[in-house]
Amino acid sequence: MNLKKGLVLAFVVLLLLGALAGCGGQEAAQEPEKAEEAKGEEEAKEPESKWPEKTIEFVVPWKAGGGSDTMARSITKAIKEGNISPVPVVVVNKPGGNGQIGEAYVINKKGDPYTWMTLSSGQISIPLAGLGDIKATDFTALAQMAGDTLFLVVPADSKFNTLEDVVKAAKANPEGLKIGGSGSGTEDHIVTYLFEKAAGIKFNYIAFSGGSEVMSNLMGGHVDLAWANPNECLSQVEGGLVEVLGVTTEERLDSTPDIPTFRELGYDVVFWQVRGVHGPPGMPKEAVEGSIEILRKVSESDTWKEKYLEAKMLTPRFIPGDDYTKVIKDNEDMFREALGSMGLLKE
Amino acid sequence: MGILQDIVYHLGLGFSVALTPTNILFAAIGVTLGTIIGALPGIGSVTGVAVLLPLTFGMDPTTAIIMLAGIYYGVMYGGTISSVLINTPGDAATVISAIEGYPLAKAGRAGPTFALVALGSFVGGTFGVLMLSIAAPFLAKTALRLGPPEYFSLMILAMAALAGLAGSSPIKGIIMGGLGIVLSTVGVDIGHGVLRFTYGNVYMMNGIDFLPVAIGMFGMGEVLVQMQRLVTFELLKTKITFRSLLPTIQDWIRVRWAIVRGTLIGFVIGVLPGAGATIASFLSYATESKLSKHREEFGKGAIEGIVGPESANNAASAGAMVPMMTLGVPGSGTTAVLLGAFMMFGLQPGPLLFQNHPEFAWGVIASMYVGNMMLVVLNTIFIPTFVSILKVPQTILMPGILVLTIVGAYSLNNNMAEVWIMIIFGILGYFFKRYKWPMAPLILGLVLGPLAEVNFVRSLSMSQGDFGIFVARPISLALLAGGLVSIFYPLIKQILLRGREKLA
Repeated sequence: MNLKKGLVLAFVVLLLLGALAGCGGQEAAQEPEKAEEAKGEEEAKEPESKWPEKTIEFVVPWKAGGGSDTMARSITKAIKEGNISPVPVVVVNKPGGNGQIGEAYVINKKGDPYTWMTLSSGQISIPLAGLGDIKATDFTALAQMAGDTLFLVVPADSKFNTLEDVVKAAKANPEGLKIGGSGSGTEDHIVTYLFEKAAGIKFNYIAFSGGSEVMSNLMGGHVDLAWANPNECLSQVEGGLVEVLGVTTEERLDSTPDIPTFRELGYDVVFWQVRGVHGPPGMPKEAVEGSIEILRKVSESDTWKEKYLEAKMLTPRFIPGDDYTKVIKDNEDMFREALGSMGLLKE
Repeated sequence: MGILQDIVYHLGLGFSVALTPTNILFAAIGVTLGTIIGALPGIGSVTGVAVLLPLTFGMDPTTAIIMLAGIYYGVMYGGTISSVLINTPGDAATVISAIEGYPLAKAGRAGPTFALVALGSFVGGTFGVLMLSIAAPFLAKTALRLGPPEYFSLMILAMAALAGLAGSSPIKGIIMGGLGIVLSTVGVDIGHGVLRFTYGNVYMMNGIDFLPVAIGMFGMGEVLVQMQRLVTFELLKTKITFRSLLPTIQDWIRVRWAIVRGTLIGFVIGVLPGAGATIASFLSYATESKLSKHREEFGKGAIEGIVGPESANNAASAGAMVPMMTLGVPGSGTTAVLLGAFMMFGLQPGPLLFQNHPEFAWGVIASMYVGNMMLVVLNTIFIPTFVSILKVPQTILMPGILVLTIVGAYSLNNNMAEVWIMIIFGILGYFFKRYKWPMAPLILGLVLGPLAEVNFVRSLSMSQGDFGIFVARPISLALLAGGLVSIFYPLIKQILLRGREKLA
């Protein structure tokens, strides 16, 4: 009997642990609800109040551990350490459906002053490639927080040492050079097209599932060239396993002054990947302004600069409000034009 | 001599870091958390490490990575517990363990199973770390030679080897495997970015993840079957004696080669950046089901069918650290998150890691020896506790499992979609079980199908449509030949036997 009791107890403990672990993942998800209740009470007391007065829910429409998640958590970390926001900002992951599940959640919070969402360039191209209905321009643009660029990389033992070598070989052998990138109809695919157009050449683009797969196939010699974000290939560059032929920025990066730009070598390929924060459609003006102020302070903090921008090899690019709205719009137009020419536009 | 001295010197350095009280403590915390996370259905190593990562901010980088790595390989041990006891896989890499483990538990042999699995896991994990210490850079470079054609052929080999799993009716097995492959085509196709079979539903866009399917079919399906029959476990009637928890001499003898094979397969597959622990456990299971002297017991509780794959997934988790630490290329979801953690601490994994931060790199490696040691102890002393769960009356246990499966499926993505998938496959699982349709091939189709497809498309776009690419590359050719042998193995064996009989 005693044994049996003990066993039941053990099992109940296990169940509780299970419930706890289940909550661990949702911990963040529950807090906003609590805050919602709190808001209800406060509204009753004080009808005209100043933003912010309740928790901001920061939606990441991708999985924990990915690029957008890291940015969101770095922002909240900077806020916490610098005591930047008077109210807590809580990260909530809503992954799935190529970001569309999280985006739909934010779209449904139309006019809500207390919701933020991460946006990366992929969320601009996804709806254009026919993989969703929600466009990046549907949201209220708050601020671009950072810019990422692409390197064109080759294995260390490659016969190509300059972009010129690549273009020459590609001209001699149209569609013969294999160039690897992440996904189809994505930024890597689009920048391949931009390079092809600028140089009057044609590659054989091979789509991989992610940056690390691209790098291992490049180092294994299964593709001739590949696109990679600086932080995806820096350790291999430093270790002498791969070489960078060019970067897609207007000017050379401060962190890598030896790497030439496509533009200075005569190919007009300029491509920035955006990392920014958006609000739901129709976000109230005071919330937009207040959010931008918080994000500006984040972008000026040391935590943000050292622990995020430097660690991830990103370029500091703080572009708030209307200017950022224009960045998103321009990006969308450029993607639309490129995908249209590539035959991949499925709006 | 120089090389050996180097290794001894570096390991000495590593242990001097790993054996400080703080690092021992955090290795222990890591492996314990890993075991718990592993045992809970749904929350696997990726989520576990990602969610606990923020806790390590502000810690010393070496200590932080020691803890996070501990979680990673701890999960490989812990995942077995729920697979065996409640037929609900705790982690992707332990899905296959439910197939043999649960019947063993029902037959009252959970104790010996855990003991042998702990041993196999220890051997696999330690061998993996050993190889990581002595040959990592060489292994990583060799692994890179496998490209899309080789991965396609490897998947074909795996499917061929597993075709024999169907049990009594090969036709049913092939139908279920095909069904798995068909289900795996739902979602965005990576090769061309086209949506398939989503019917405008955003929840279908990322496809059907195999984990909620496995949790549903095995876990919830079993609950439904039990509810109807209310079969009591053998163990309920027998007394738990210390002796009944220990493996017999015959058990030891029976599993020794399974451990060796599982370890080797697991490590090799783990090192490949495009495979991982789940595939490793499948391949080990297939190998055991072909080579075992007790083939008739497979599906009904063959102990080598769980000890082999468990050795394999632990060896694979150590193997996956090889490309991550030496090349900066993560081979699995978890190592990708770990890589992110490295960078957050300002450490660049890759060729220079061992040069620039030797105390860190070797400290982490040394801590993995220590962690594996802790895990084998932890998992052995708690066997009586684990096993006692089976003594919980069915009327309490079954609803409890149901709750666990739902929480587990939800925690995968914080989303109800996975819960619905789990429930649908739970109900299907009940009928599959009732009418004796084997479920393992469906899971395999779901896991291997997309990998085969995406690498097939990639290979053909590399060769611009020439199928010759699969046979022109020696490694790919060898893998395909292995697949053929595996399909015709029973036939070959029969011909050989008959030849021998005639001679006699």
